[in-house]
Amino acid sequence: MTERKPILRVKDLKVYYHTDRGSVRAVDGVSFTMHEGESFGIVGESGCGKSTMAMALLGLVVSPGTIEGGQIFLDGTDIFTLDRELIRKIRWSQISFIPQGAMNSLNPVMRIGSQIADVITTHQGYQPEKILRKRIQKLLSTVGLPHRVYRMYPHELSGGMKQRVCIAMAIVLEPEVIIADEPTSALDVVVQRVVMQTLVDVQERLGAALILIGHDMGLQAQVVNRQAVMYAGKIAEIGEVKTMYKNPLHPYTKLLIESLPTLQLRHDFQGIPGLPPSLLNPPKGCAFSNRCPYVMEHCREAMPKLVEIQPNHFVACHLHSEVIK
Amino acid sequence: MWLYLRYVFGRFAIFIITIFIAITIVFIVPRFVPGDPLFAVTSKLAEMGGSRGSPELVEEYRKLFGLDQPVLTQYLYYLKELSKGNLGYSIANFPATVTELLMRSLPWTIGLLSVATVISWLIGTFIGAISGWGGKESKISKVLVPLALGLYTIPYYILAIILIFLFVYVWGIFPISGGYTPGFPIKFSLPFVLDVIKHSILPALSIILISLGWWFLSMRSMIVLLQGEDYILLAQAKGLSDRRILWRYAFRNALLPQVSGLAISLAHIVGGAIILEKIFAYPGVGWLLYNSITELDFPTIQGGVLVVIIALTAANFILDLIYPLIDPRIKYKRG
Ligand SMILES: Nc1ncnc2c1ncn2[C@@H]1O[C@H](COP(=O)(O)OP(=O)(O)O)[C@@H](O)[C@H]1O
Ligand SMILES: [Mg+2]
Repeated sequence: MTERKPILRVKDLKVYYHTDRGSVRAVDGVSFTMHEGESFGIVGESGCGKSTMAMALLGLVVSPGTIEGGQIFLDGTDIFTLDRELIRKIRWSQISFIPQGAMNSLNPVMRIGSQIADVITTHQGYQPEKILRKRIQKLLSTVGLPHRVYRMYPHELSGGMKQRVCIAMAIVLEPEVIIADEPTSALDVVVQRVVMQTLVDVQERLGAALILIGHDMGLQAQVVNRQAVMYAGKIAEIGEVKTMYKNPLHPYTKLLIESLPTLQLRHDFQGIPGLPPSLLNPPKGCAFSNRCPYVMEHCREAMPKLVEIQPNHFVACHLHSEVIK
Repeated sequence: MWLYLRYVFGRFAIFIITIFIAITIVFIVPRFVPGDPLFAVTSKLAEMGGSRGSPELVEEYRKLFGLDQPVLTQYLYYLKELSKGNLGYSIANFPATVTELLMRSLPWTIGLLSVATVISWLIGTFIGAISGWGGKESKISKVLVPLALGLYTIPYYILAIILIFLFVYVWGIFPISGGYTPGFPIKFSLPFVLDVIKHSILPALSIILISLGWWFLSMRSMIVLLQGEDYILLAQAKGLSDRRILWRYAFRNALLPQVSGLAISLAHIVGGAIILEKIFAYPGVGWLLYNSITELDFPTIQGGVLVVIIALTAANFILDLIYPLIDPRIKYKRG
């Protein structure tokens, strides 16, 4: 399973937002590799830079954000070396996106059918309405939507249906990578589970790689095999979900897992004490040092590097770096 | 469909009620305004060298205009005559009726203002969309935004005077005033139409230039605002071309408030542009109203105001009917 071909490689990616008060280091030196057909999770508290990274993968960093450094290789090509037109062609045909706010992600004055058809005609050229309709209606059925949705407007659909429309749209061109940014966080729990299942089903059928972004580790664990834990624009830990649950290395991961509601202790949910640091002028040392129960003097001084502690299990924490510089 | 009909019916009822209330207010208000209209008439007659406003004459006019009746009788009479399209006699232009005066001036005003408004709207809306889409840094925005702000803040009569100065006195291209050359036979012929167009260019230009700034700025800010919308971001992620995103996603959404703006502006047209028509001595409703106000010609003022209110209400009603067609989100709720 680990010997599959890498499809997406991110190397030392940095995306900053330049605001009046200084630079917000939303993504600050992130690296990871994804393989064909893999489901990969990115978890972290809100504001840690997940959506910004998703946008960067689509080549869609917009002002006041800028790419400060790093590379993104999609199927071997560094997308930052491509011109606007070529990036535009890659979007959706090779890497598609399921947005966080499906509520507002569909054009309110356009029928669902036309919004999906737009993708097809842009990337595959003109096609007669009849063929488009057949194809789109079939697509809608695969995500469990009736044919009539083709002629409907977004406001006529429920939140769950809109999210399904977004899933259908994301797979229409059969891309190699699908990025889903908290695809179910706006839905209620029951719908959440069904929509997530739909997403997993279509992904498996397509054999596409899935990047699932979320803040709920429990939900992630049911879907992805490998995940990255993000904290304040950096990756704290990457590894197989199973290994990480059994043996979390980073104190932050540990706390995230401990704070998960269990079946017995449903009401006992508690977040991690303290707040994530400001991404404006972050501290010199480890970003988690002010909340970390195991903090050492050294942690406030130097930034820990991401190192491979066990095969395929990386962590950025001084507790685990043998050589303290 | 059934829902739409019910909606239309509801809107129509509101339309009728509004007009009825307006008619009543238009009837009541002048009766509480100080200043005796008959005094205006008699002094006018006196100016023309007639008998010096003798009490008999005043009495005669009072009867003629029904001013000696109790208010309720006046009101019923007023409603009855109104339903026949009779708005009474003009006091200032006595033998002429208000309806006649309005009918004579409305085509001038509507012709000039509707063409000018639509041209200005079209140009402002399209340039505004393109400029807004290009963002703050684009070259056209850097030039056009200050220009539009400037135009928007100039009072239009000042612009009109500048235009007159340049085009009439300096270059002598256009006639200074009027709707047509005096003495020209008023009939539908090519020379007459050309003459009318020539006379309308300066007043039209001042309206276009002034309102252009507004249409431009409102469309531009709408597009800029929409650029942060999730559906625009998703459209970009879909790899659509910039042109397609602008026209099919941003523009179509930004158009909604713009269309309401146009409808309201068109409705305001029938009241004429009082100062502008005065400056250009343009024979439209604005001029008529201006003269009626200075001469305390109540029936004409009433008639003019009534027409304006009916037009505004009608425009709102029509807008209510077409809005669901351009914005699918409008639910046909009651009310
Ligand atoms: N347009 C922007 N301008 C300035 N700061 C931004 C902008 N968008 C996001 N940020 C900041 O970047 C950080 C990461 O945001 P985001 O990527 O949305 O995080 P997440 O998706 O994990 O919640 C946050 O601190 C946020 O305040
Ligand atoms: Mg987010």
